[in-house]
This record gives sequence, C-alpha cells and structure tokens, in this order.
Amino acid sequence: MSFFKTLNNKSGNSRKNSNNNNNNNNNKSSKQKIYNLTFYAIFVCLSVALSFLESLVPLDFIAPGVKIGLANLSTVFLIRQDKFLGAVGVNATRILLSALLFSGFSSLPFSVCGAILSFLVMFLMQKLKIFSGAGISAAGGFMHNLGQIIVSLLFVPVSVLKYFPFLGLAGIFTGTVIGILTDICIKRLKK
Amino acid sequence: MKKADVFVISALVAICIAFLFLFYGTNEGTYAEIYINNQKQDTVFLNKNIKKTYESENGGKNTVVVKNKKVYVNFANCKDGVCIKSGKKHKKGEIIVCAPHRFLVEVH
Ligand SMILES: [Zn+2]
Repeated sequence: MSFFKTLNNKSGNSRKNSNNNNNNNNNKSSKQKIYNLTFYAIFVCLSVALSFLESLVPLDFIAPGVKIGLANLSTVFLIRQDKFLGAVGVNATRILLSALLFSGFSSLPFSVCGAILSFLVMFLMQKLKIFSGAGISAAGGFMHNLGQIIVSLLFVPVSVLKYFPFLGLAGIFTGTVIGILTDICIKRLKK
Repeated sequence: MKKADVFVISALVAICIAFLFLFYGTNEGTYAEIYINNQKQDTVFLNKNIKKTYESENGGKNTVVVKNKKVYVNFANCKDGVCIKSGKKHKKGEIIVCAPHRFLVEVH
C-alpha cells in the first residue's frame, strides 16, 4: 500500500513538474513513462493472479468461461480513478495472459464479450458521476456474466438461460463487495 | 454507498429474482430431451425407467438413466465428470451438461 502511495505521489509531482518546467521535460516524461509501466504492470499482475484464483472455482458446467468475477477488481479500481484507457489495456492483457497461462483460448470469446459489456456499463456509470464504487461494480459484475451467457447462447441451447438468475446474483454480489473494497482502497491511498 | 447505488443494486437483484421465478416457479418435469452438438437426439419419458448410452462424434460416451421419475448421467468418459456430478434432475428446465462432449439433457 505504501508503495502505491509513493508511486502515486511521485506521479503527481512529476506531472506538475513536467508542465511547469520545460528544461527537464524529457527526463520527467521518461520518469512518467516508467511510473506508468510499473503502475500498470502491478495491475496486470494482480488481475492475472485474481483470474487464476477465479479459475479454481469451476463454473464450467454452466457454460464455458463462466467466472465469479473477482478479476474485475483491477478494472473497477482503474475506472474509479478515471483511468479508462488503462482499464481497457490491463483487462485485455489480463484476458490474453490468463488464456495463455491456464484458462485456454476456448473461453476467450466469453471473457472478451463479458469484459466489453461490463466495461461499457461501468464507463458510462462512472461518467454519470452519481454512483459510487458499489453500484458501478455491481452493474459491471452483472453485465460481465450477462455477456458470457449471451455468447454461450451461440454454442449451447437456450436452456443455459436457466442459470442466468444465479450468475446474475453472483455477479451483483462479488461486484458490490469489490466496489466497496475499491472505494476504501482509493480513499486510503489518497490520504 | 450512495442512494443511486442502492437503487441500481436492488433493481438488478429484482431482475434476477424475477427470472428465478420465471424459470423455476414451475414444477415436476415429464420428459427429458437429449442434445448432442446442439442437435436433438432423443426424448426420454421420466415415468419409464431406462438406461441408454449416447455417443458423440469424438468418441465421447454418456449413459443416461431414468429411475424413479428422475434423470441422471451415471457413466461418462469425459475428463471432468461434471455431468455425473450434476446428479439427479426432475424439475422442468433443469439441465445436465457435459461440456467436453457437447452433450446436454434438458427436463421438460
Ligand atoms: Zn461429462
């Protein structure tokens, strides 16, 4: 946590400096690049780890690729800080890496569709500025699972829809928990 | 948590619960349909005890048993064995899936 804090502070400072001080511009912007690289690398690591944790909970009997939605944490965290592009990048990397490492490419279309739907909804809700982490993340978790069900309809009979209520509730639950935790984290980091 | 959050979360939960009633408010099933690769293979009636083995393209086998108005898979040569572990199904809309064999039993 304190590591994040220093990273955050440094980035804040270097950003200010690079705006005010043109002499050291190159130096500062490369510092900023290194900061970004480290910052997002940490998020990719975290989210791949969470993806792995998720893969230990097998829900594949419902439809291939169905997850409980833990890996959403890093996406929510970045979206809550208005780092939308970073959220997309980290999520894309996370999905590719976890497909390569453990979940396999057969579940890729499911993860991608879920991630896109969930990102769009969370992006819009964050932009509206009337929601906090809990609401945004709950909707994100819900849409993530909805997206996976929609893709699975292409492969298995319509009866997978029967699992929709449970998946929806699971998404809302993990989403809410993740959202609340994210807001607590962000608050602590800002202190 | 803001008011808007509570609203969104409860709306989503309400949607899920509505679908829960829609899908599971019904009662006992009367027959089961067997699908392989998304195509209907067979219909078995739950009031008649039977045991049948279905073969999918890649050599996958699933043995479906109907006993005491319940349907279940008692043998399968798939890796995960999820279909066997799913247990006995008898309610309308319940399904048994064997993802590796693209095999599905649905109770109606
Ligand atoms: Zn099986």
